[in-house]
Amino acid sequence: MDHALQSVGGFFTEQRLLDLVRVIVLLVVGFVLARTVPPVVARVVALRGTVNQAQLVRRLLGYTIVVVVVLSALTQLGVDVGVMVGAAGLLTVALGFAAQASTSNLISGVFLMGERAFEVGDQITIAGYTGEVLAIDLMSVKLRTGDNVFVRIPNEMMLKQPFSNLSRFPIRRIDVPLSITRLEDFDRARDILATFADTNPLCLAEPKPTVAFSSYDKTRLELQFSVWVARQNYADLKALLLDAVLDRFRAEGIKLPIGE
Amino acid sequence: MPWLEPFALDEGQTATVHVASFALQILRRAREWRVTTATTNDLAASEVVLKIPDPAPQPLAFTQDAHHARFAFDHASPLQLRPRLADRTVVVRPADPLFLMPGATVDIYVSTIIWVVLELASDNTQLIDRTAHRPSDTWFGPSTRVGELAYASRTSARLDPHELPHRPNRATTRIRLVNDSPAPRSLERVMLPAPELELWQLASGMLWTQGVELALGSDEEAPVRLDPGPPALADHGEAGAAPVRVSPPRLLARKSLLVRAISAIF
Repeated sequence: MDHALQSVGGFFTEQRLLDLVRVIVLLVVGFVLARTVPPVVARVVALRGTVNQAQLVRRLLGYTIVVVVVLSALTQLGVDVGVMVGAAGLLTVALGFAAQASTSNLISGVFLMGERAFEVGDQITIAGYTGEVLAIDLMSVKLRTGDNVFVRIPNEMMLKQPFSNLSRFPIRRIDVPLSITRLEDFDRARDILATFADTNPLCLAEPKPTVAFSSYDKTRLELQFSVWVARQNYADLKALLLDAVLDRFRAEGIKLPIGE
Repeated sequence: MPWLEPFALDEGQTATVHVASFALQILRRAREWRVTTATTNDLAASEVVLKIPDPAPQPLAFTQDAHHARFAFDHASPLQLRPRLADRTVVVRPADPLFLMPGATVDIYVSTIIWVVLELASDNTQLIDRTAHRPSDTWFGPSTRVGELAYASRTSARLDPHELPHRPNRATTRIRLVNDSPAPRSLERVMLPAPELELWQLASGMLWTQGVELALGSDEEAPVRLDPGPPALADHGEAGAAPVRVSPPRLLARKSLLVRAISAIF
């Protein structure tokens, strides 16, 4: 027992204790720096660049500080970092084979960021999901859908599939397909649609709204009503448009092929 | 006229203001103002009615979109009304095509609807900023990707200011058009930078903005120049008291204003 205590005491020489304190101070200071410096730098980057660039700089800087601090703490404790780095190199090759999917996502992420087809805050549609971009990371893009669900889209998928950015341009067109069953209703239907576009302040006066006759068969005429709207009013106008048009059609006795 | 004249209401009193079809009612309670704004049924109304306080307040008869708001305070301070121009550029289209002969310098007079601001008389803290008839949105720019969201308005583009009807809910602007090109130029639409214009009140109560000048060169771009100071006597023709500035511009004039297009292409 005495012997064991003696060897523990022998291990904690004055020099070793000093090293340990130094390492603890280094770790504490390092982690404080890793938490405080990146946000400040990111804010400066955000002034000139995009939100996405700021996020990226913040993460990379954070990781770099942590790695440097941990490596110097290990050196302080007398661990040979050179050997570790060599081992890490081998490990990377081994992991690279094992983690092909992740690597592919990582590389896709770099391309995606370079392409800048969308930014944080944009509304995009991909693989049936429509939502606001929360983050563009090295591995995946995070979305928040309209019903407040968090969706993670792997970058590889973003790169391989077509996706739509709904926020890219300031105005959008709403296309509403409509069918009527009688040829003689066509003029009145066109007038109703034109009046709706003219009187609703959300419908842009220019580019002009259009009512086009798209096709017909034995039972019905297909029309397409297209109006332009400011991007931020798209959902509002779309919601009220069909409602208002159907109301007017009913009031005017225009027959729709419903329940036939 | 109702503009920039401070008024105070005692507890329980109501003020009713009509500026053409724009209606505003303010009810003063112990610790709040209840403000209702609406577009009245009488769309052809063209006069100003001020009942401050209103001896027999009636609920507003409105068509749609009555807007209610309550403002709580520690101690009531006097209020005032201020007219303002639109908060976006207004794209004005002449009702009939107007052609400008080569070398001609022509003044046209267009009017645009005003917004009514209710504010504290002491420090201009804004309570409401609304209009009776929100103009339709439109897009002004060379393509669907580049341009700006604007309001659409139609004008008879009168060439004689004396033909202008007196409407208290509209402000008149003189637009001087200079056709420098050797060919007649059609004027399909004119961009009126409403947020950058000052608003002035004449002795008769009519609202005028500072003048605007457009040089229609041979290309699509047309420099826009804003006249400094009040509307010229030669334009409004009202001798007597000098015009009073009732509203500063909403925005400071943009540098790019000088090279803005007057006719977008679609």
